[in-house]
Amino acid sequence: MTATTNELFTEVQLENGLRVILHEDHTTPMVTINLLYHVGSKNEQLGRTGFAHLFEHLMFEGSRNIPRGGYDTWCTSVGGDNNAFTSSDITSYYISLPSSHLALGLWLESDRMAEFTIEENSLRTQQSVIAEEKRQTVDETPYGSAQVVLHELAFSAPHPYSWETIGSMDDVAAATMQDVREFYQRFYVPANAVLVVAGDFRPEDAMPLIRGYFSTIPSGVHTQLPEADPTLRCYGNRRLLKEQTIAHHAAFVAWHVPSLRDADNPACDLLTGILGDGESCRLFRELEYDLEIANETGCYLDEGELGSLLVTYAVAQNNRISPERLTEALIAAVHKIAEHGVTERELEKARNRKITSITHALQSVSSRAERLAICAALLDNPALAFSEAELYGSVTADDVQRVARQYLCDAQPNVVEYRAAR
Amino acid sequence: MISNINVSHRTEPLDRSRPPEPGRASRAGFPPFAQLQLRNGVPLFIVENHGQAYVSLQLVLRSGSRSDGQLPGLATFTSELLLSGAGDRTMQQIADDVDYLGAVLDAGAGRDEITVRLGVLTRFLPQALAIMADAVLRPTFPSDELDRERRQSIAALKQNQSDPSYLAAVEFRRQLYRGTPYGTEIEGTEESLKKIRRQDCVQFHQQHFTAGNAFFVAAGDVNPEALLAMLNEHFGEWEGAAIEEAPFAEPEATATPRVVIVHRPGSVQSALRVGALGISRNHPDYVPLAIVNTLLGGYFNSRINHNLREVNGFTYGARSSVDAPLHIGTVSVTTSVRAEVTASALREIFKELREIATYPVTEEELTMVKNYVVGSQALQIETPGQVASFVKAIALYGLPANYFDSFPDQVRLLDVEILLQVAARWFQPDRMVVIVAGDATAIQEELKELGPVTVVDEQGILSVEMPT
Repeated sequence: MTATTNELFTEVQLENGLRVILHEDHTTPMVTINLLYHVGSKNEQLGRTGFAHLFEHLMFEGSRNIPRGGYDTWCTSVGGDNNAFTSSDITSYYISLPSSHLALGLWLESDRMAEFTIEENSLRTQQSVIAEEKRQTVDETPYGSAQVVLHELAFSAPHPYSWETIGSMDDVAAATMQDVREFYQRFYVPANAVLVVAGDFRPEDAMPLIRGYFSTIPSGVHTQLPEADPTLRCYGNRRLLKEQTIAHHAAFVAWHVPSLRDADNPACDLLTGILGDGESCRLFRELEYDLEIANETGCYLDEGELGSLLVTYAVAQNNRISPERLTEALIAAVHKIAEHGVTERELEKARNRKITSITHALQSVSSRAERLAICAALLDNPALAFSEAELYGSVTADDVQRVARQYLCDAQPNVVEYRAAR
Repeated sequence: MISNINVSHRTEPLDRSRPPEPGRASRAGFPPFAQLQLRNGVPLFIVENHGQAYVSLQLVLRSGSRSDGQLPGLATFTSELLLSGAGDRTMQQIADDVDYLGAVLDAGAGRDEITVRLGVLTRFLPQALAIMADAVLRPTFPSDELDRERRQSIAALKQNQSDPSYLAAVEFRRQLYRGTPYGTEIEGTEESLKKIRRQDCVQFHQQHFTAGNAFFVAAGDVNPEALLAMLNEHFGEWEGAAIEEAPFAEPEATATPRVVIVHRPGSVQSALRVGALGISRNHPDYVPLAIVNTLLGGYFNSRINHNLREVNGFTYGARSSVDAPLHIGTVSVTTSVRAEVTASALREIFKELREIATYPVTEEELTMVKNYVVGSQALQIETPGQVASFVKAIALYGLPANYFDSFPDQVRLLDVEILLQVAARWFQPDRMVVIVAGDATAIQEELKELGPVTVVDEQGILSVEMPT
């Protein structure tokens, strides 16, 4: 067993492989427990998609000593708060509690890691809840399908990113109890998890509780990253969608950029900011203010362990502006940076905005806990949770132009266009 | 800081078959804050926390939509225009400079207050403060930006009006606050927004953005002395007295119970509001009323949510709330149900209201709700910015400085008798107005059992008076 201590956190690994990170902060009387399982939709198989997310829902449906509904009842009865999310790479759970109830949180989390006991009717209920969730977030939300379609266009099967986290509703509906049990036994094991406890507690009080509740759970096997054949990345695909429910045409343009572990990730991140962040960024100024063709624009990095997508988008100001016109303007904005570069002031602006948002998030104990877990699981470097801002310090204007040229200008993007049908 | 963990120490496995006992209560309480004063007397509250190099600063003015007068939406509209041109700066320059500093700077109005918010890295506070001072003290209200803002505000209003819960909320306030400054919408109406001229904004700004009407709340990585010096530099010469506010008109009394339907032809859902006038934020009944409300409909385990969602499956969620502003507030039950169960859901809501106003709650419920309310306060003060919002409430509503320190004790002292008295006073079913935004043709007959029914259109204009 090993332990690392610095002034911000302590890391201990239990004999069964569970990584435990403790971060003390006594400012306010709360503790938060963040439990990350290193499994996401990338670990699913074609024909069996949507399982990681389905499983996240099932984790609230009861375990050996906590009946269905008990998790939430226990949590609210002491004033606590909890939630979870699933991505391509990870499934992340948190529970925040008044600090005197740390033991309760550890009990709730350890019981569902040790032995979940859901029954057929819980599976059936959550299958329909997820169908409803997809209707709300993908089908009924304007442009809600963009992310799903971009993944279909940008990656060919069986690349693990060729399907989105929500998965295929047919696959989700076909899930059996046997599938669910196998998924749990394979991925929801100490060797594949990171447990962070942060806030108002003393490590000497917390460790006996953590050990007492978690150390008897059988280790299981640490999950290896699935194969991701680079030849399955696609370029230059395009799809036009006609939709009744949207008011305006729109375009989403996505380029392949390196994974979140790559040394070029910070430069890509700042390029994203220069294009799309704030009221004075490139896309706002060019498409909304100068050309007046869009009333909404944006740019984000869809980051992953197996590769990322840089996505730009624009919504037409009126429907005389075609989606093709928007696509053209989005690509032109990117090419302009590749050809002429960015100013020092633009770079500084993007850097300052990035550092501000990192710093602001670190004010919250629960965000710190989440970043510690993510940095430990994905980058094997929990200390980065506190020094992330430094990553952006050394990026130069030349770096930004270089990544724009190398990854965006020299490669064809994948494009989803929406035509408002009315 | 963390050094003496014995990593090889063996621990006995813990019994997972029963929940653990709570640990000892934390020594950490509501974080301390300081109160200083600018040289012109403007109060400055400071929540110091040097964990991260980040500062949030709010300037609060004790005026809001209740000061709109004949032009509903004027306070909101004027506030939003502060960043559209100020001093020598154009809107584009403000946007560019604020972005360069990585800062967040915005302004908006509530019923009782206007807030200008700044969030920024400590090292950029001086430059950001200079922009904020221009926006607050020297806005230029350029005509072209005013027209742009007007177009955007009207578009946003139209968007809101497609939402039945919004329509129900608007009609609810219109019915209860008739004849008072709380009866109009904070964002105004399309009609009023079209009437606002540049001169109205200039005048509103002159009248309400005065030193005597203002206070600051700062939170995060600030040195109190240094911040005070900076604020004195920018705001120390600011003048103007406190606003002499006209006495708050009592809402006109109306017959209760009664039903108002906001007719939305073809609506498959009904958005419901059942409620009555309540209390101001500094009323002595506030804490017990907040606790009764939590138990009735303020959290997931509440009676109303349990009844409507868990037992009857009428809705995805139902809740009750206590809205306690500077003047008279409201109590209400809010939910959305499928149209065919509208009357049944209302019957259940009235059943729960009768129950809470007539019979004492159980000791078990009381313990659970006390633990919930006291516990969740610990989670609501996680960041300096969150603490600042509590401090703002202390200043705005004139609460005692130790209000949130003593809040857990105030809650623990409550017993079932006090809760029954308060519930009987404010949740009396006979005092309630029922608002339904939905398809009137499908539901109005059945709702007559609750009282006289009126049907209005989406602008609140009477369309059909039903015989009673």
